[in-house]
Amino acid sequence: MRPTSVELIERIAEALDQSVLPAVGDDKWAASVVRSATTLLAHLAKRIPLEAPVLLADNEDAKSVLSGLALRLHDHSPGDEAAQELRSLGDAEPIPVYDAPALDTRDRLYQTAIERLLRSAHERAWTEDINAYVLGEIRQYLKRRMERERDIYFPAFTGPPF
Amino acid sequence: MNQQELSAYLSGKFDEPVAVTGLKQTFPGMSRETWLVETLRGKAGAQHGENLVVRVDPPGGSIVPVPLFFEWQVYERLNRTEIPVAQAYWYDGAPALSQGRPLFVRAMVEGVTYPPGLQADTAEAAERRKHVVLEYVEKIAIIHRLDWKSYGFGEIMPAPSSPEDAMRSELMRWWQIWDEIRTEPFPVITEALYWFLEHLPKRAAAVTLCKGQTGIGEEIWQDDKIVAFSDWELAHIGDPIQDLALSQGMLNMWDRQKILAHYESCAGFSLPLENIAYYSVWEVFNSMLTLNAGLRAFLSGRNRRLARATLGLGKVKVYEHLLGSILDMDVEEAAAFCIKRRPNPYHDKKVSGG
Repeated sequence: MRPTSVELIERIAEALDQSVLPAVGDDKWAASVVRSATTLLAHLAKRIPLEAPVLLADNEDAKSVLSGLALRLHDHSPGDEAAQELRSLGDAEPIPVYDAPALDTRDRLYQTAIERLLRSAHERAWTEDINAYVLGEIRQYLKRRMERERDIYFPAFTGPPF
Repeated sequence: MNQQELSAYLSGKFDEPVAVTGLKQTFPGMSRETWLVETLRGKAGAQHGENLVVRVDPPGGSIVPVPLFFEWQVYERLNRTEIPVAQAYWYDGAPALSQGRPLFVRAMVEGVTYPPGLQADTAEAAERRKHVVLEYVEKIAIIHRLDWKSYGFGEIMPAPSSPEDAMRSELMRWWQIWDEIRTEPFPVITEALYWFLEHLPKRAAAVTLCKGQTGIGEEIWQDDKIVAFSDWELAHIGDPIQDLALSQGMLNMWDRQKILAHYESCAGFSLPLENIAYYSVWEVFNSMLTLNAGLRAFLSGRNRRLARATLGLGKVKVYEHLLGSILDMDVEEAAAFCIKRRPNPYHDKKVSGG
């Protein structure tokens, strides 16, 4: 369908920047609204095509990490509650790539679980080896996650704040 | 804010006729609305002009997760000291004037928040910067020397038990606030908080009243002298080095060692300088927390200002990635990394000198 969603967003941002912003003159408040709007539109232009595939890839990565940690924790202590919780997350039905809201909800579940694991490992819930392993796996995952999502937020949000 | 309604409100509070002759909201006012009010007070024939500042919570509350009443309480106590601040008149918890949003009224102190020409690349401006920063450290030292207990600041703020406990107290306090206000899980930030815990400085310089939000843009200047300290919502009792480290470029205005030596002679205690690096990284977390706090009202619809989203989503992501990048670094490396890459979320004015 033409113009595409991204094309429309980019043209709207351009119109605001080139036709509206010069017209607001000394009105700082109006100029700020326009700048905020164009910044958010620049973000949306990236987010719309990238959000679902990034979430899908990240969910799969997080699921793999959590499943691996579940196995390791289970091996260490078969009754480990964290391991059981992680296994149930890993068993969840896959979500199709077109369903960004559902992918987002799943992402929040995974991130909550990851946070809990981080806190447990730092608070020495397990042996030194297990704690270090948990932290190592999660830190590597978080680096991959930041790399994956980078284009959605950079450089859109690196300019003037408003 | 409606000029007529404000006139009626002020007349009631001052118990005499007050005519508002000028009303202007300062920009950008991200943390709170600040209204500059020109008035004529008194009956006809015996009127006198007085300028006021009305500070109001924005719709949905401030981005700073600290009640406006707290800032009022700080002003009320400061007014009993020799620290230069505006005279605070009253706090009103839910006036109809501001649709039930809390406000407090204080006198206006004439001056500027950005001394003009300070960042010019001239020998004259460089000399001015030297005097400005020495003025700043002399005045901030007055705050840090204050006997905060005798003025009742311990009644409204938690105080660490010792200089050795100050940084941990600060970290745990804001960690708890972060857990309460954040809009979603942030495992990168969780890791960063453990990084701070692991890299806490050994001790604070002292346990003093701290302003919490200071430097160019935060204080009122006349002829390169501070005539009033402004914006006290982040005031706390803790390590005074934090005020210096977070002074928005003041330490870059002249020779840093000489600036800090001058401060030490004014304050009467020495500074563990390694703490400056720690706070340079800490500032990233603190700013990120505030900006994400402001996103909550945007998400609920109570505050639809678009800047809340650019800051609360966008700048928060920038800071999250910044903190995510320092997790394998020591404090000095992390500080250098953050100082180079961290944008000021509120303005892009260069202070000068780096």
